[in-house]
Amino acid sequence: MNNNTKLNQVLMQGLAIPETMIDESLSYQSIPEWDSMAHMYLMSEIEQTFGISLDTTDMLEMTSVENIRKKLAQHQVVFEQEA
Amino acid sequence: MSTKIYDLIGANTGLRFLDPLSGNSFSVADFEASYKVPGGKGLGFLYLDNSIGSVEVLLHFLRSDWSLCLLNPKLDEAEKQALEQAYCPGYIHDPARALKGLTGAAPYPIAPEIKLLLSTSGSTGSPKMVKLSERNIISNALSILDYLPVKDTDTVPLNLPLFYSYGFSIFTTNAIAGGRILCTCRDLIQKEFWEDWQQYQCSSLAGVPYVYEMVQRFGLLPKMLPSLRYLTQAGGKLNPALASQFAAQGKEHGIPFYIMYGQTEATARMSWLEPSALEHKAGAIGKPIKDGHFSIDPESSELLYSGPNVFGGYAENAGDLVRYEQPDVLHTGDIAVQDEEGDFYIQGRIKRFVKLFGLRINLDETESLLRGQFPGNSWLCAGDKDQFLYALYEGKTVAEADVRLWISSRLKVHPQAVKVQQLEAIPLNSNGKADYIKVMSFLAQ
Repeated sequence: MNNNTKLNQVLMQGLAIPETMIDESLSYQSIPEWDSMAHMYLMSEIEQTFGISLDTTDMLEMTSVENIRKKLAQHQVVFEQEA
Repeated sequence: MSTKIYDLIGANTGLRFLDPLSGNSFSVADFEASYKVPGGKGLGFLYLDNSIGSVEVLLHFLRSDWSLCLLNPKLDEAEKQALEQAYCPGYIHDPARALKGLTGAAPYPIAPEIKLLLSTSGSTGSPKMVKLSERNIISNALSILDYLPVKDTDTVPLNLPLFYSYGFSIFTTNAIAGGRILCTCRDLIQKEFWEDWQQYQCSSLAGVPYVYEMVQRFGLLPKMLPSLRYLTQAGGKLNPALASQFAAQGKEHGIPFYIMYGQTEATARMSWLEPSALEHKAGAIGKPIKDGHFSIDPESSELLYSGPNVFGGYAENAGDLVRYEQPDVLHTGDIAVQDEEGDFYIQGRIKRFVKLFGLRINLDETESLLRGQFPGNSWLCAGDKDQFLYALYEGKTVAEADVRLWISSRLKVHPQAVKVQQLEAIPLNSNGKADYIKVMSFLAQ
C-alpha cells in the first residue's frame, strides 16, 4: 500500500467518511464529521499508521488534508506521484 | 417585579463581551441600544452558537419577558421542524435558515415561572426539555460564585455551547462577576483559539471529560500558561488517573482544578470538590454547593439532591409548559457513597445512559431506535465507562459497520465510540427481562 492510499484509509477511519468525500480542500470543521473528537481519532490513526509521534504544534496544524501532507513530509513520509 | 438574571448581569457595569473576529468589545449597555425583542411574551426558540451576535440575542431575550429555549444551531432541518411542531414557538431566531422574528403561531399558556428550556441531550434533537425559572438560574449562578474564584479581572472564553447547561452556567457566572467574556466559536483544536487566548490573556477553561482528554493528548496545558488561573471540569466523570495528573500539574503551576458534578435538572451544578482534596480523592464529586443538600436513599443508595436550583419538571411539548412544579428532591439516578469527611463519590448509575463526549445518551431510547431501524434482530445497548456505547444483538448477522455508522450519525457521536457485537443469546434474568449486569460482565472480559 503506498502512502497516498494509506492516508486515504486514515482519513476514512479517523473522520468516519467514505472515500468519495476526500479531497485536498477538506479541512477541520469544513464538514460536520471533522470535529474535535474526530480530530483526536485522526491524529491517533496517523501516528499508528505512519509509525510517527506528533507534538502539539503538529496536531494543531494538521487541520487540512494539505497540511497533513506537509507535516507528514516533515516526518519523512514521502508521497509518491499518483500514476 | 421579581429579579431577573439580566438585572444581575446589568449590575456588573465593568463587564465586556469580546468579539475576536472584529476585535471589538461591548458592554451590556451597548447591546441595549440594539434591543428589538417584540413586546408581550411567549416562547422564543433561539438556535445559538457562541458568536457575539448570539450573545447579543441571548441578552435581549434575558432582558425581555419571553421564555426562551436554547437550541443547537447544528441540528438538521428535520429535527428543527419536529421541535417547532412540538412547541409552536412564537419567535424563532435561526441564522442558518434566515429566521429572525415572530412566527405568527397562536399564543398559549406558559407558567409564569418558566424562563428557560434546555435539552438534556443537545445534539439529538430530542424534544425532552428541562423547565427552569429565573430563580433556578440566579440561585445556581450565585451558589457557583460562592466557590469558584471568578474575578472582575478575568477573561473567560465561551468554549462550551450556550445551549448546554454547563456552558450556560459559565456564561451566567462570568457575566455576573467576571471581567471579560470572549464570544468565540473556535475550539481547542484551532490555532486561532490559542492566538485569541494569548491576545486576551484568558484566565480559565471549562471542559467535559473529553476536553481534558484532548488537553492531555495534545499537550495543551502549556499553551494556557501563564494567564491561566483555574480549570473546571463537569459533564461526566473524568478518568481518575487523568484527574490525578491534573491535580499534580495544577499543584506544580498553582492552578486549582475544580471537579464539579451536576445535571441540567439542577440548572447545572450540584456539588464541587475542593481542589486541594483532588490529589487524594480522585473520583470524588465533593460536597453540595451553597444552599444545596445531598442525601442518599437508604434502600437504593440513589443520590438525592434538594435546593433552589432544582428544575420545574420536564416538557415534551407546548402543553407541558402550562405547569412548573419543583419536586421536593431531585432523583439523580446516580448511586453514591459519602466518606467520613463528607465528600460524595458516584459509584454507578440507576438510570440507563452513557455519557459520550459529554452527551447524555439514553440506552433504552437507543435500543428502541435500533429496533425500529433493524427490526430483524433483538437489540440491547450498554455503556462502558462512558467511553463506548455497545449495541449488542441476537439473531441473523447484520452488517456491523452499517449499524455503527447509522447509530453514530443518528446520535452524532464518532463511530469509533460505538461497538456492535453479536451475542448467541441476550441474557435474561428470572423475570424474562434483559440482564444488564450479566451483559456488563461479558463486556468486561
